[in-house]
Amino acid sequence: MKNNKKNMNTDQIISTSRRTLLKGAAASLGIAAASGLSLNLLTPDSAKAMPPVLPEKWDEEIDVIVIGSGFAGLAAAIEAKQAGASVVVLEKMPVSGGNSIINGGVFAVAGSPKQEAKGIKDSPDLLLKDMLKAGLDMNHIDLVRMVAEKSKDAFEWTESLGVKYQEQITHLGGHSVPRSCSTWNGSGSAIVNKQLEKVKTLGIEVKKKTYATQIMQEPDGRVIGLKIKEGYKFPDETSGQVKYLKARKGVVLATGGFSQDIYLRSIQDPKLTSNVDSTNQPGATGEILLEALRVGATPVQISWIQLGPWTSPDEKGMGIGYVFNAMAGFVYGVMVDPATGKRFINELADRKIRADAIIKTGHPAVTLADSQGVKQVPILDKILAKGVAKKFDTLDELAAAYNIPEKTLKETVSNWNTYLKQGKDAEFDRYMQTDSKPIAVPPFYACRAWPKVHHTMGGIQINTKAQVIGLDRKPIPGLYAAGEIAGGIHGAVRLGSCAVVDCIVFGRIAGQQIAV
Amino acid sequence: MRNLTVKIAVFSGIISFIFLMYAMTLVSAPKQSSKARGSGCSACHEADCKVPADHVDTNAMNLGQCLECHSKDTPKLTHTLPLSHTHRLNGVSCKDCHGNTQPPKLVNTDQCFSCHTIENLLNNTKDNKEANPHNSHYGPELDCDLCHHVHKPSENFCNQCHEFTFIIPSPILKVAKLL
Repeated sequence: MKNNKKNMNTDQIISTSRRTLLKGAAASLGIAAASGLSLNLLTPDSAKAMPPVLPEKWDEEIDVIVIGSGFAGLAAAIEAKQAGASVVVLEKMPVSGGNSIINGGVFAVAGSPKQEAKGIKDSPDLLLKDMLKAGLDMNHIDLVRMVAEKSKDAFEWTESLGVKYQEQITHLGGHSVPRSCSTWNGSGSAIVNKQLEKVKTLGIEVKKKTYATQIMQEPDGRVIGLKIKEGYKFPDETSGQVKYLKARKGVVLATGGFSQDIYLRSIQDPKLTSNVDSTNQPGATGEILLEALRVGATPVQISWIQLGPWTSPDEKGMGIGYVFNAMAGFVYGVMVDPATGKRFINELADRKIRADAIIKTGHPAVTLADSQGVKQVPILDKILAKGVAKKFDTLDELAAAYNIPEKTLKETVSNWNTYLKQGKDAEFDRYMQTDSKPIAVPPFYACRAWPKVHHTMGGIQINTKAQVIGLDRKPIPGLYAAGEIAGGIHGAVRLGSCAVVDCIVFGRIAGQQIAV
Repeated sequence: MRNLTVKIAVFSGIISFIFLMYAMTLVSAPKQSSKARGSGCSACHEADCKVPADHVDTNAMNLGQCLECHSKDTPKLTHTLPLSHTHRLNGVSCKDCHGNTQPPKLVNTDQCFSCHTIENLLNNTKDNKEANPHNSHYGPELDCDLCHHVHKPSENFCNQCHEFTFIIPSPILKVAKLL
């Protein structure tokens, strides 16, 4: 019900903006035809095909405007300010931090002291190799190399801001070695809140409820400012007061991805309609991506949209069921198609392979593990209390609860136990954990899995200086981008824990470069 | 032709309905009086006073005194009254927040913190089993009006992502049962 409400809101936004687009276009054409005036002067904001008219007077002037207050935006703001520029950060939502502040707080670091202490051999080259493999070699290699080479530096930069990390290192899917460091609270908020503290110390203003609606350019294409709305109440497009901000050095786009933009994402991938939920915050929409394209940025792989395979359809958004699936069902248990009772994919394949396989069955999958397999799940009680995962005394009861043919389910479990004994998964060649035990000791636990939209790999093209590349293959003067809005870093599939490092590395670069 | 008649009938029906709804809001919306006491319902609500005729005189009461009797209401009294009323009942007048100017000054979070303290808020909600909304991943310094609305029902901002069941004071629930 709540989901419906959320989707309905977004649909309303879409239909409203479509209506205004049509209405605006019709009105301006009518007037232009009648009066013979230039379309430019009369075209409303929403008809974005026409370049906006520069204001006669700017309301405020500053060196650098950063749009977005997540990892990348705040990193850019801090670096630009430290390099001597005056900076303002615009955030359209009523809270700072975007998706970063609700992110899982895992940071891929190649060659960290934590790895050394545990005798794990890693290098930027190995991280690069892993990212290219998952990315199906669609990655822009110069950008991936930048992320891989600077991962340790970026990690240490967050530590210098006061971010604390847990001792353990996690081995996430698709990485060759354990290299992912978790923040102390298992949330990106541990990083964002320290960035926000730094921003405050440096005297940088973060203007919340401030919506950038247009990028303003000089006739030669140089980006010189923004048209914004102050006091914007997301998602009410009619709210807020229009102002013009001049950016003497330029604008950094750090607006994130568009996982919650049902209209845009379903144009890129028609499967991703309002029937598919997302793990993202509601403000993860693509209006600035489209605005960047309007000013001539080169699009990169925009239809490569990642779904997380671990989420549950029995709760909203990211939820908590994913913890059960990722730490028990996929690792120590099995995932079955409830219609057949059989496994259908390697439960530890990359996110795309797993998500595609679940969707192909046409309904949520069921993951299950026994009492020994759930020992690594830190919040099992909470997940059970919420009713997202369930507990059963026998496999028969489990099968009945999810309408799974009990005979084949028991065969599947017995087959897996045989593979475990033999040390090889004869069906899907899944990696066997060294501490794996047969699925045999009750109680048994189960959770449903249904993918949700998680990350948009594609975006606009940048170079290693975080400059946005235009259709003429040259940087658009005064326009920089970092984080999820930039495309090409992750190629076809982003690995877990590689978003944070990408955002910090390119956010810092954008800030340093724009202040030059 | 018949279609047109139907369309006209439907259209005029819609217009009259909209007018009727508008007229009803004019009748039912209480007027706002800066001179009214928080407990002097009839000063604003006039004939629409929610307090029964045989209720003890509320004119000189404050919120604490209301709660002495209304301690077991379901839903709680503080969930059925707007936040403006609980403020008024605690002796906070309109101009204490909105100033003495016309039009009244818009209230921001700093204004709230001229009376409320972060420490108190954190402490009030620390035993909430689902989460302490005043000390979330967003930290303690959020704008109050993300959740707490004074002249309209409050909302749970956390639930744009989460599915918490705890109730933010003054969601203005319907009075189901008193005492």
